[in-house]
Parts: sequence; C-alpha cells; structure tokens
Amino acid sequence: MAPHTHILLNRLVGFLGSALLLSSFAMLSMRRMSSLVRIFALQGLLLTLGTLSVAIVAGEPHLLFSALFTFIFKVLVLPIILFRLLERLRIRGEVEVLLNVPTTMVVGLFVVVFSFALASPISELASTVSRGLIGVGLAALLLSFLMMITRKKAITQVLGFLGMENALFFSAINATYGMPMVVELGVAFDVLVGTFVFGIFFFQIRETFESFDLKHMDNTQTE
Amino acid sequence: MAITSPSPAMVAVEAFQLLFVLLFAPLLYGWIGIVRAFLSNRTPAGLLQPWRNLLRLFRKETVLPEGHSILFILVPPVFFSVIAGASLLVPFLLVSPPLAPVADAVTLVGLFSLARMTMALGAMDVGTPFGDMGARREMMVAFLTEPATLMILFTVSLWSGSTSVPSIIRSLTDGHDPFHPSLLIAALAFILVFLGENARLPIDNPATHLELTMIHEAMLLEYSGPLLALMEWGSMQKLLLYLLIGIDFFAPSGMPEDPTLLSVLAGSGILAGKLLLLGSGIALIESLFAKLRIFRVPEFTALAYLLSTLGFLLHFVLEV
Amino acid sequence: MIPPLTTPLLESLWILAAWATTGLAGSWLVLRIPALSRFLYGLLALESLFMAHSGFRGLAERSDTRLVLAGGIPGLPFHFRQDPLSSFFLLLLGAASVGTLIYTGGFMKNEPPRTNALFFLRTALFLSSMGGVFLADDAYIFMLSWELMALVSFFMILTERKREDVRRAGYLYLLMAHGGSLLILFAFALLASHGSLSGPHSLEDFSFFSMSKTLLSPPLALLVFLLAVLGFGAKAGILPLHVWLPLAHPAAPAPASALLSGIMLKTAVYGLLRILFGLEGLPQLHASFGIGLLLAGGVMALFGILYALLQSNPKSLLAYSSIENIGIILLGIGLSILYLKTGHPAAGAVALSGALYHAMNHAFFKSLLFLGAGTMVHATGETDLNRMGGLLHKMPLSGLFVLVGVFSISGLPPTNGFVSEWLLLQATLQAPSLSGTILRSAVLFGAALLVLSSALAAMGFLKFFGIGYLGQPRSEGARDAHECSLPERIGMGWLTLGTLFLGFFPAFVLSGIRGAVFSLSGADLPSFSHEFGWTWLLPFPPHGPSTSPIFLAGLLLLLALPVFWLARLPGRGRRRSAPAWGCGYPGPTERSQASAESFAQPIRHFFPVFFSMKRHIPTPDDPDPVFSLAVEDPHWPLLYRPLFRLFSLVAESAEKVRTGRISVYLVYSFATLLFLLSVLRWR
Repeated sequence: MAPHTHILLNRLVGFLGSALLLSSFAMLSMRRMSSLVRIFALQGLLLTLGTLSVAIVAGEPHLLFSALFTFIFKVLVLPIILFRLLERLRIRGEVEVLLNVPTTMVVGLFVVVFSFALASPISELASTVSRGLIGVGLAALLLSFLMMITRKKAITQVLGFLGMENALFFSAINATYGMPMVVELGVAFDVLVGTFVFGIFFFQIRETFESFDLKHMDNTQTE
Repeated sequence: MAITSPSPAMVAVEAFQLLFVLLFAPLLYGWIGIVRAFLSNRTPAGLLQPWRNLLRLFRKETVLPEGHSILFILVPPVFFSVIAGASLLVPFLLVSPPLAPVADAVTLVGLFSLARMTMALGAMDVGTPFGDMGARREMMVAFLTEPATLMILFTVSLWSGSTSVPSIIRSLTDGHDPFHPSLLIAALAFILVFLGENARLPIDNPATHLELTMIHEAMLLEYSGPLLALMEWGSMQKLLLYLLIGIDFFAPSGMPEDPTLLSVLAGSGILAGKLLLLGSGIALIESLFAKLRIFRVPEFTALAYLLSTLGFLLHFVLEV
Repeated sequence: MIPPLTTPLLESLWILAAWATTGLAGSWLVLRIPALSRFLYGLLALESLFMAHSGFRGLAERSDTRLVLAGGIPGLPFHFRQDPLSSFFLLLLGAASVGTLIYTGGFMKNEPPRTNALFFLRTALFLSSMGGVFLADDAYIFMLSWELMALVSFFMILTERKREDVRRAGYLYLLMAHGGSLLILFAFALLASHGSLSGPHSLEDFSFFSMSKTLLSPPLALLVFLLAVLGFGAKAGILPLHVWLPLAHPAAPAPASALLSGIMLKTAVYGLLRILFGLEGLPQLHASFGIGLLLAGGVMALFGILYALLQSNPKSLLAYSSIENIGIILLGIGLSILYLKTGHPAAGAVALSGALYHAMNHAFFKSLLFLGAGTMVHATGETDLNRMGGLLHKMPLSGLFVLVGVFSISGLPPTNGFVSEWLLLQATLQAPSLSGTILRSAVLFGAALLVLSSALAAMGFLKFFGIGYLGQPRSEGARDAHECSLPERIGMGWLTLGTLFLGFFPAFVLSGIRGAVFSLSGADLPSFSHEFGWTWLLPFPPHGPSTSPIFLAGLLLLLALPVFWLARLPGRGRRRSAPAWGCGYPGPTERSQASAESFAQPIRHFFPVFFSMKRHIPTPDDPDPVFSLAVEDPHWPLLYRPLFRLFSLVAESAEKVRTGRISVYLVYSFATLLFLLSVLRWR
C-alpha cells in the first residue's frame, strides 16, 4: 500500500479516537436516556471504523472479523436491546445526576489531563499505529467510569460500563492490534449476556423498589 | 507586520469588505428566514424583508424613554461602529486584507465583547426590569462563550503559532492533512459558541417578544426608530462576522491571496456559496432544536468552553 | 563637586525626604489653617510628579546606581539602589499617586482639622515608606520601610476608628501584615546566612548585593520561594491570606483604599520579584515553582472575580477584584519563571512584561475606580449599590471617568487592561514550545483561567456601573446626589488620562518595561525600531501576532462619526419622549430594577462549589416572611475560624502557668536565662 494512504489512515484512527473521547464527554453531558443509547451506538460505529482502519494499516485480517463483530453487537444488537429495555421499563425522563453536569465535565477535563500525562511514557514505547491514542483510550475509559459514579439510575451505570468496555477495546486494538480472537469473542458475548442479565435485574429491581434509584441499593447489609 | 502604504487596490478591498458586510448581513438574515420557513412549511417573507424592516425603522421617529441618560443615545452608534470596524479587520475577501495587522484574533474577540458591553450598558440605562434582565442574561451567556471563543482560536492558532488571522488561514490551507481531531472539536465548540453569541435558537429565540424567555430582545426593548435600526443592523453584521471567522478557521480554502479583480470576484462567489450553506445549516439547527430553559444555558456554554479546552489538549497529545 | 541630582537615585531619595518633611510640617499647618490642606496635597502631588520623573529617568537611562549612606547604627550603613526594576515601581508610585493626592485634597476638605491633619501625615509617610521599599538595597532598610508602611497603612485604615467593624478590619490587617513580615524576615535570614562572601558572617551579609551571591541547596531554594510567596502574599492578598482585603477596603477612606490597592499591593509584587529574580536568582529557581505560581495565580484570579461579582458594597467589590488582578500578575510571573527556566527567553520576557504592565495598569484603573467608589459613597451617603442608581445623571464627569476605568478593568480593547492581558495570552500561546504534557496543560489551564476570569470581570463591572450609575435612583441619597468637587474631578481625570495613555501607547510603555525585564531576567523584549513602531504591539517579530490599540481607536472613531449622523438623519431628527415601555407593565418603580444580588444570581447558581451560602426561603404560613441570603467567603468557616478556636484553646491552656505571684514569674525568667546560657555554652 502507498505510504501516503498509510499516513492518511493513521490520521483517521487518531480522528476516530478523538471522536470516541468526544462521545464519552457527550455521554457525561447528555440529559436524555435515549440520547445516551444513541451515543453508545455511535461509539460502536466509531469503533468499527477504527478497527477497520487498523486492520488495513496493520494488515491483520483477523481484525476485519473483529470489526464485523463490533458492528453487529455494538451498533445493532446492544442498542436495540437497550432501546427495548427503555421502552418496556417506560423510562423516558431525564438522567438524574449526583453531581451537576458542568462540575462533572470539569472533573472530566482533569481526568483527561491526568490520563494523557499517565500515558505519555507508555506512548513513547508503543510502536504501533498511533502513539497518542493510548492516552485517549485511557481517558475515554476513565470518563465512562466517571459517568458511572455521578449518575443515579441503574441503567446509566450499565451504559457507563459498556462505554468502559468500548474504550478498553479501542486501546487494545491500538496498542497491540487487538487481543486474540477468542478473547475478543468471549468478551463480546460476555457483554451481551451481561446486558441480558442486567435487563432481567432491572425488572426485578423495579418490582422490589418501584424505582431505579441506586440509593435503594445502598444498604445491602440489613438482611 | 506594519501596514503597508495604502495602494488604491488595498483601499478598494477594505471598502468592498465594509460594503459587503453592511449589505449582505441583512440578506443573510433573510436567507435564514427563508430556509426556516421552508422547513416548517410556511411561506417565506422574502430575502429583502430584513432590509425593508431596517429602512422602515430608519424612517421612523425616535421615541426616547423618560429618564434616559446621554449614554442611551450614544450606545447604538458606538455598537454599530465597533461591529462595522471589525468587518474591516476580519479577512474574508483576501487572506490578508491591509488592515488585518491592526487586530489579531484575540483583539477581534475583544471587539465583540466591547460591543456586547456597550449594548448591555444601553440596556441598563433606563432601569426597566426587562433591560436589566436582558443585560444580566447576555452576560451570563457571554462569560463562558467569550473564553470558549478564545480557547477555540488558541486551538486553531497552534499550527501557525500566531493569533494573527492571515497566518492562521495560511497554516490551515497549506497542510494537506484532512483529519485534525482538535479542529473537529474546536469546530463543534464554535457552533455552540456561535449559537450562544448571536442569540440563536437553543439559547434565545430571535423571533420572539415573549417576555420571560428573551435575552437579546430584552436589551433592545426601549430602543426605537433609527437607534433600534442601528442595533439590529449591527447584530446582523455580528452574525455574519461570526460566520466569516468560522470560515476563516475551519473552511478557508478558496480564499485568494492577491488583490486582482478576478480572484476577488471568484473568491467572493465561493464565499457567498459557503455563507448560504452555513445559513441553511443554522436554519436547520433552529428548526430541529427547542429552546433551552434559561438555567440550562450555562451548561450549554460550559460545554462549549470545556470542549474548546479539550481540543487544545488533544492537539498536544495527538498532533504534535 | 557633583551637583546633588545627577542620578535618579539621588533625586528619588530627596523626594522621599521631601515627602516626609512635607508630611510633618504640613500636618502641623493643616491643624492651624485647615483651608491650606488642598494646597498641601497639591504639594505632595507635585513631589509625586518628581518621583515619577525620577522613575522615568531611571528607565530611560537604564541607570543602576547604588549609594551607601552612613546612618542608623554604627557599622551598619543604609544601602540604597535604583535599578530599572526600582525605577519602574517608583514611576508607578509617583504617577499613580499624583491623581489620588489631588483627589484627597477635595475629599477630605469637610473633615475636622484633626482628622484631616492626621490623614495628611499618614499619607505622606505612607508614600515615603513605599518609596523606601523600592529603593532599599539591604534587608534592614527594606524591613524598616516595609514595617513603617504596614504601620502607617494600618492607621490609614483606622481613620474612622470609632466604628467597630473598622477596628476589626484594621486589626486583622495588622495581624496579616506582621505575619507576612515575619516570613519575609525568615527568607532574608536564610539568604543572608548562606551568602557569606568572604569568611565569617558580617553585617554586610544583609546587603542585597551579598544576598544575590547566595548558593542555596534545592530544598532551601524551595523554602525561600515559599517564604517569599507567602510573606509577600499576605500583603498582596494571595489565597488564603486575602481575607483582610475585602474587610479593610470598605473600612478605609477612598483615597486610602486607592493607595493601598493601587500601589501598596505592588510593593508585594516588587518584593516578590526582587527576592525571586534578584536575590535568590533565576539559576536557583525551578520550573515547577513557576507552575505553582501560575496555577495559584489563575485560581486566585477566578476566585477573586467570582466573589467580586457577589458584592453589593462597591468597595468590597473592588477589593475582591484586586485579588483577581494580583492573581493575573502572579500568573504572569509564574509563566515567565516557567519559560525562562525551560530555555524560552523570548516568551519569558513577554510574560514578565505582561505582568509588569498589568501591575502598572492596575495601579491606574484601580485607584481610579476606588476614587470613583469614594465619590459614589460621598455623594449618596450610602454604602450599598442597591441604594444608589442613576448617578450618571447627577455626576456625569466622574461617571465618565469611572466608565473608562470599567472598560479598562474588563480588559476591553483598546484600553490598557486589554493590552496587558493580550501580552499574557500571547505568552501562554507559546506553550507548544514546552515539552511534556504536564507543563503544557498547566499553561493551558492558566490561559483558560485567565480568559474566564477576564470575561467574568466584564460582568462584574457591568454590575458595578449599571447598578450604581445607570437606571433610576434607588434611594433618597441617590436622588440628591451631587457632582464631586473640582480637585476630586482633576484627580480622577489624571488617572483616566493615565489609563488611556497606557492603553494607546503600549510600545512606548513597553520600551520602559524592557529595561526592568532585562535587568530581572536577562531576557530582552524585541525593540520597536521599525517605522511607526510606537503604534504597534508586536511581541514576536517579525511575523508574530500584532495589534494596535491606537489604530483601532482611530478606526472606531472614524466609523462612529458618520454613524452618529446616520442615527439622526433618516428620521430627520424627530425625537419624542415617552414613559419607558418595559413590556407595558404599569407603574414601574425604582424597586423593580435589578438589584446587585439578582445580577449575580446566575453566578451563584453556576459556581455553587465556590460559595458557602445560607439561604432562607420563608414558608407560605410564615407570619413575618423575609427572604434572606448570606454568602460567606469559605475561607472563614473552613480555615480561619477553626484556626482561631485552636489558638484560643492553646491560649487558655497556657493560662494555667499564670499564677499571679511575682516570685513564680521570676522563676520563669530565671529558668529561661539559665537555659539560654547553657545553650550558648554547649551548643
């Protein structure tokens, strides 16, 4: 392949990484549950494109399969499941927050700086596609974590968890051209099953507490 | 980078810039109105409607509220001339118009805050509750959009290492590299800032006199006749100038370097095309989104500020 | 024979003496003939003008002279020195105090002769002691002037000593000032004890020349840095040592506030620069010190302006805004240390010149605004913005002056506040040349905080001017307001002219600052030698960013003239007056205008973490419903009150040793004596 195309694809991966980071930020700032799911689907699409580009740059055919799986699971299956969950559970309203949105985002910004600083020595060592992207992946991961911390509803926590998985997947692809195929498949199925399990739990939670507010789950030692 | 001695061509370019902004700004307003009407299945009022409004206002008498001070009368002309002055300094017909060294991008942002401050002073002069409210809300929007604008322009100036707009444009057109993550983020933030600064829909509804939701209108409530016309005309120019700055930063290709008649004409043709496209984009955004609650506005602008800071950070990590 | 005024240093020293003499003789005269006070203040102002001249000369000639005067204790002569840095600050002192002094002549004319005379004496001694700080070249004379300055300013704050809050504010100030001096003294002691030029320690070690040869180990260098920052920070209002500022300024008379905030805060900036760059020396500083100072300055700027926005007393608003401005100056100094230590002298020089430029600007516009606040308070008899309003109708000229100050402090082009912030921003934009994510992010956050606080400043000062001068009068006092006296207007006019000059001719000002920057950092600013160089601001020639306030102002003026015509012509000048429209609500009163609190509401709403708020919203069945809102500086409940409780606890337990019998006390003294003697013997 021509080196020019290579450089172009490298830049594209960088671009996609930033878009991923941006979407993690967007998740922090969104107030509608359905927008959150849409952004999650968008993340899946970004991941698919990213995996495709890395597959071409690195010439690793197994990544093509990864891209396909990513597309099926993260762009189609999981969002559909989540949308149906939202519908069945009649969750419409807004995301409830523990910490107000601007403050969360300021904290998020510091998290980004922290992860960039943390990843800079690792990036020097990495010889793969885009060096700065490890920091970006780490930042996206921590931002999703931050979302899990600062949101009240159980379903937002699941979305945060899925976001973390996306970020991890992205970092793995860029740092080591992906994990072995078996591991990737396993993780993908894990996440899928996890989502089903969560879905079942949600119904149970609602029947027990008639609410999804996490504070009802705070006190686990009473029984 | 001092001003070169004025040649007739350069004087002509500056005069043309001023005229372009003065004449085209109301037309752009009209264009946005047409697209909005089209999107909501209404009959548009026509491209010239803002011009008709302005001319009618200029023919009317001036009604001055009781208890105004001299400041009230001085504000509209000063506001208007600050904005018109900015139209001489922003490059859009040429990459480097002769007066560009007078103001770098930071100064341009400063000029816009100067205009905003004068407008808010005029609004508070009479002491009506709505004027005060408008001024307060305008500043509430601005205290985050202004730093966001600065951070955005810092991000785009990182390639040239200079905040002078011509060198920013050159540095962005020279590179052949299409994917700049930080530019993507900066552009997103710029859209948010643009909507906030120009009182467009998610922040403020330009077409309403609904008392409790207005920002920009509330500041102009006491003005009438030519004074009101100056304020409105100035605001229209401000919108156009923001778009022009956006074009300078994010889509500068096709801007001519030398002041030959042909290249300037071709350049302004391309420019007009870009502006029509952007105007339709604004109309689309305004048709898709509902107005935000006023307390959500700082969140919106904070998002712009943080995004612009993030863009800056990403540049250091990914693009150096 | 050498004529006495050959060097700027001699001129400055003579003026110090003249100030002190005028103060002593003048206060006696004022006591006898009160009508003379206006002329005597004029005389002081004239002397200030000479001081400005001396500073200007020093900068123009780039002179660096030392002088040793036999005086004080034998074997311990006074060292004086006027280098470009001192000259710069002397120019600031002289030029900014001229306006304040002329103003004071009008401001104090209705006070009883005794108060007037005392204030005259204090003002003169205050000026003299500040000059002493700038000229000192050894630790003794520096500390002497420094303490004299603290003491005199304490008494200036206490002018209305009958009021309880004034006494409390003054006491807190004295406490902070002395705590700070102690830390500075430690810093000097550390520098002196490690800087022995030849052999044994001598009194010469305390001269600045000997201290500047000091070699410190890295931990000691850090210690000296911290001591200097905290010691001078107590004077400059660095967080969390700022609490005296917002209390002292409303308590002090307006001219005292103007001198305190406009000039005295700069002595702390000077002291910090002198110790860090001059005595400790650039080679011993570390880049991380710069980062610390940069971020501390940025946070301070944001905190200061947020609290300024919330104040409804105009003078507390200005006091908090001083915290913001000092924060900006510290940010610039930190930035310059960072750049200079990482090998970017050009950027470092620009940052440092931005900081010095801002110090000069702040001296002018803050003095102007404090004097303006003084006239507001004098004219209305009110201290609350909520009881002012509509003052522009009654006080058009002083209102116009204040408006210039408002535009400058908000950093709007083409004023001076814009110039200095522009320079600092250009310096932060050199961040890509640094290496490492942490360094760059720190500078980036500095820039983000700087632009945020400057945007907030515009909001704060719109509130200051909009609530105070615009709208309709909110009280009887505001309705009966009157324009201030002629000397007051002249004084404010001087400061306004200075503010405008600093804005319009930045290249000229920078050519003066250049000398000071070079003497501090060894880095040079570009010269402005090319054609029309004096009109341009071009820190990174030849292709760097440029701006030109004077061209900008000319351009705006050129455009505004036809627009004025446009505003009148088409309606054929037909004008009619009618009641304000206000959406047609009937009977608007002055009470329906925005209050100072409501103006800041979005800020309180948006930055809840910064404020500790107590809000009482009455319930529907409350018989006496009153809405109340109290916002307190969180440093009080979180830091100072616990600290005070701790102190009183310690003090109470120390009470136990106090038995009341003289022989027991003598035993204490005896035991202490024995202990000290044994320490001396077996050390």
